[in-house]
Amino acid sequence: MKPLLSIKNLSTWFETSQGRLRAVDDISLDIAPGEVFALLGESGSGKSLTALSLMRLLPGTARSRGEIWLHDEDLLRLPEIRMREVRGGRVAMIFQEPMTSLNPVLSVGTQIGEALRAHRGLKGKHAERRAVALLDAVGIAEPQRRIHDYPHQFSGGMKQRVMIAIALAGEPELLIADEPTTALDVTIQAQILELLRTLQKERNMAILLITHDLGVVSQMADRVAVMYAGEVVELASRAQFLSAPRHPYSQKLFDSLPGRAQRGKSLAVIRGMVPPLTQTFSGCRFAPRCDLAWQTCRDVTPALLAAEGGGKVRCHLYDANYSVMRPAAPPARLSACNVQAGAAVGPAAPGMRAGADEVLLKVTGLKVHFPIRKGLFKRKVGEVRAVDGVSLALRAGRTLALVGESGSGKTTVGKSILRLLPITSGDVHYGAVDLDSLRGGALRAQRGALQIIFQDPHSSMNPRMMIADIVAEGMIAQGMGGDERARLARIDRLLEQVGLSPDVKYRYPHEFSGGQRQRVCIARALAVNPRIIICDEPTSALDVSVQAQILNLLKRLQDELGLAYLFITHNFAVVEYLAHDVAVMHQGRIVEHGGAEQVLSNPQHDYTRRLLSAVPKIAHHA
Amino acid sequence: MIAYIIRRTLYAIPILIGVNLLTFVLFFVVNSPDDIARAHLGVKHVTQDAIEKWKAERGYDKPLIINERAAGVEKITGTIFFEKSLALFAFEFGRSDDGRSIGQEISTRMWPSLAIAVPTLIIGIGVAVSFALLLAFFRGSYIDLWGVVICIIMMSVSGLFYIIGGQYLVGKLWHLVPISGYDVGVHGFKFIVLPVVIGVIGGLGAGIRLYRTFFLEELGKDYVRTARAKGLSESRVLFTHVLKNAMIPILTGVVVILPTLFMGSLILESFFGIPGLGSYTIDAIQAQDFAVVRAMVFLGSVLYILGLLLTDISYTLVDPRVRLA
Ligand SMILES: Nc1ncnc2c1ncn2[C@@H]1O[C@H](COP(=O)(O)OP(=O)(O)OP(=O)(O)O)[C@@H](O)[C@H]1O
Ligand code: SF4
Ligand SMILES: [Mg+2]
Repeated sequence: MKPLLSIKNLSTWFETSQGRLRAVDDISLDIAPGEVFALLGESGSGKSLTALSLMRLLPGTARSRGEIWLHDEDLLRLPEIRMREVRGGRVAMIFQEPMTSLNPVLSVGTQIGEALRAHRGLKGKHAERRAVALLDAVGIAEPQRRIHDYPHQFSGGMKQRVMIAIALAGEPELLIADEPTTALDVTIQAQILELLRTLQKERNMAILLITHDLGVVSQMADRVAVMYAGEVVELASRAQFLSAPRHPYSQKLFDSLPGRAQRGKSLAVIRGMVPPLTQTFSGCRFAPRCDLAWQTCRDVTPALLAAEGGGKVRCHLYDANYSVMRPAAPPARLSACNVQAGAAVGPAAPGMRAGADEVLLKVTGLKVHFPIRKGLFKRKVGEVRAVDGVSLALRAGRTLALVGESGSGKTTVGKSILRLLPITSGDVHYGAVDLDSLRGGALRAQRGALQIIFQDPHSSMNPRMMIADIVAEGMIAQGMGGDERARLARIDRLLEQVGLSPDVKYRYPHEFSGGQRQRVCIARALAVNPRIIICDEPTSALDVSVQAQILNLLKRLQDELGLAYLFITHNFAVVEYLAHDVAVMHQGRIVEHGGAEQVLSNPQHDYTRRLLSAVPKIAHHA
Repeated sequence: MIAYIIRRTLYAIPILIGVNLLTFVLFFVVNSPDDIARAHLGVKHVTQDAIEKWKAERGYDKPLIINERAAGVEKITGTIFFEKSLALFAFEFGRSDDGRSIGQEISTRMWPSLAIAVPTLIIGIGVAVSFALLLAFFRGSYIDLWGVVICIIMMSVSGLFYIIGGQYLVGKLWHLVPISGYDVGVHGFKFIVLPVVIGVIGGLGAGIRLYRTFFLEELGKDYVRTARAKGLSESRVLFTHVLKNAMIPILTGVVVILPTLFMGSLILESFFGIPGLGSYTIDAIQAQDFAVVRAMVFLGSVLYILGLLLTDISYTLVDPRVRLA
């Protein structure tokens, strides 16, 4: 079949002070009519810029070259005025951030209407009727009424539905969806993916689905392209990709996924980082991080070659001319357990340490209500029951996962245990100490024992403080660590403990990647010798391969130091991998509580079942 | 909404009392009535009698806060604080040094002030927004660059330069309009044109630059990308999407100063001989007429507080996200 869209040798680059940054480097792809084509890759691999190049919506500083054929027109050579007919007409696009992607001061009806007018020539009553039908098609209840509402009156998932309605207005042949569900909760994510699936079938519309989530690929894609450092390194059908990914990078992505099968083991990690794209590469771009690399990989640039059984792969292992030159070892798939030296840990062994079974933290009947104030004198007219009677027990050396959708009150529980929020009623005991009764100095002393790390390692650090000062802050507040010299020595040890070089202590947060920043946050928490760390979605802002590193680190620290974790998350794969116990939270209450094995394999509560079934399953058997 | 306005008005009361106390302290404590009298009568050769007489004529002979000699409520009401300061709340401004009613003056002089200030404001915003949109449309190009450079030059030039230069060119060389003066009705038009044009030009550099930043900030937002992805033309993106959002900070910035337009412009009015409140204030400062200055300071504060209230209300009108409670 003739492809709908054919990208030939597309390159997109920026001129920066460090030289030319090749964000998209000579990629070629075909998308067939009506297929779901997934573009998979980690942050910074060039996925979004590929999509924006198609739409010719690149930032002003970017340039691109190549050919993008939509049927028999080259989009890159179309005059702007004709390109406008393509945008939103034949090719539509939705974005990752539904929260900010709609215009806040125009009603959703107006925003859909604009697209209808531009591409279907509909106005007034006709446009309105069509807009109502579109809202209905994307599953917005009472579309007739909601059409006059403004974006802020919709939830995140509904905003993404509105975005989809706008995209459908022009009846596109191709819908580009750039991480359409990344910013959404699991259950909402499942609904949106389902919706896209249905619409795609009904309208026989092709979808270019950009994602970094293997689960989404597994659920949605017909074919997959994997991007690494601006290049396509593998092209495959879904079945092929899930059952036997070919490129070593693709394999590593699967291996770094947490899950039940990995319990007690270290996750495979991809060492090092994505290379900066300003350099000129010689040889394979993945070579510095590839476990299978040999000399040829560093000398000769691999080409994207057709692989046996369909698909393409960019790796010398699959090129008969070069693979014979490989010194030893078969070019087969390496074992999944590529444990880094020094990071090897046994299965989590509760009871290994003295007093490991002791209950460290006991929360009983915790309630946190926020008043709603209204009227002339801001009288209290009601309250939001963010946390409404939560009881938990956390034992030394164990991990209790607190799961639930956003808004279920998870973070509020974490913060109120730390007394970062006032408790309405209930009590929180750390050992024998009632945390709620503590004031001033006594409270500060106990704060050392309980630490928290947050989801966004970027905003939880003061950008103007050096790493050394960030780590030392808690120690100074607690009056520990001795004099300046002793403290610096301890900072060095802490940084090594979290896998950073001690030299980094004189650098600033912006010089680090997301994963490294999270390591610094962990070092800061460890600095005051805590026994409990509350981890609030510590990996949800990170890519899978980086997530694997952080999870390994947390696991190792637990085994070495006997830490207890209260792990707040909505990611079930992480729960399966790490948690000993699970508490499921819904609307401020715990609806199910028990051992991880039991809750995950035999959920009792409806809500738990719903959450579990929304998790995209990866049908991967290697 | 109504409840909100009432509550905000109630909040304004303590602020107004504070302003009132402050003006009282400034005008009567820091500067005692004796000082004021002496300043008026000349520093040398003033007898105490002359001072007492001057004070008595104007009601400054009473005690400041508590009148020991009087009885009953008079103890409080027979004081300078009550008669001169608290009375401001009832918009009783008293009389100026030349014996005329200040309230009367204000109600006649505010019209010439408005005749200059309102057109200056409206035309000024219109012109600044248009130019700013133009620069935003051509952002990053030479047009934009030179536009910004010219704005900065215009901002650096003193306002007096525009006034004097304008009067010289248009009034003296070209004889298009009178250099200064004022008249009511249609005849007033020729007197108003020049000050308005100069007022607009004087504020243009800063206005264009500010509004350009508003537009550029909006242009970087995600919803603009969505609008473009719909296939809208760049001008439609700019005029409906960006302009609508940028109008929020622009409008609210304007609403704050709306009430203070009554007060007129100090410099423009004195240079063009406009009998408005601006020139009234300047004259009063020169003549050391404290009663007038005090009234104008108080009035200015009240109007500014009113402006802040109007700003909050206008948010609810232009921004669908804001609902006052
Ligand atoms: N405006 C810009 N100026 C300079 N470099 C840019 C710009 N936008 C993106 N880049 C660079 O281009 C590369 C690819 O970016 P792109 O947004 O396509 O990544 P992505 O794969 O979509 O990542 P993510 O998953 O984080 O969205 C990155 O290295 C990024 O730093
Ligand atoms: S070419 Fe070599 S370095 Fe690159 S992915 Fe293949 S084996 Fe690894
Ligand atoms: Mg992206």
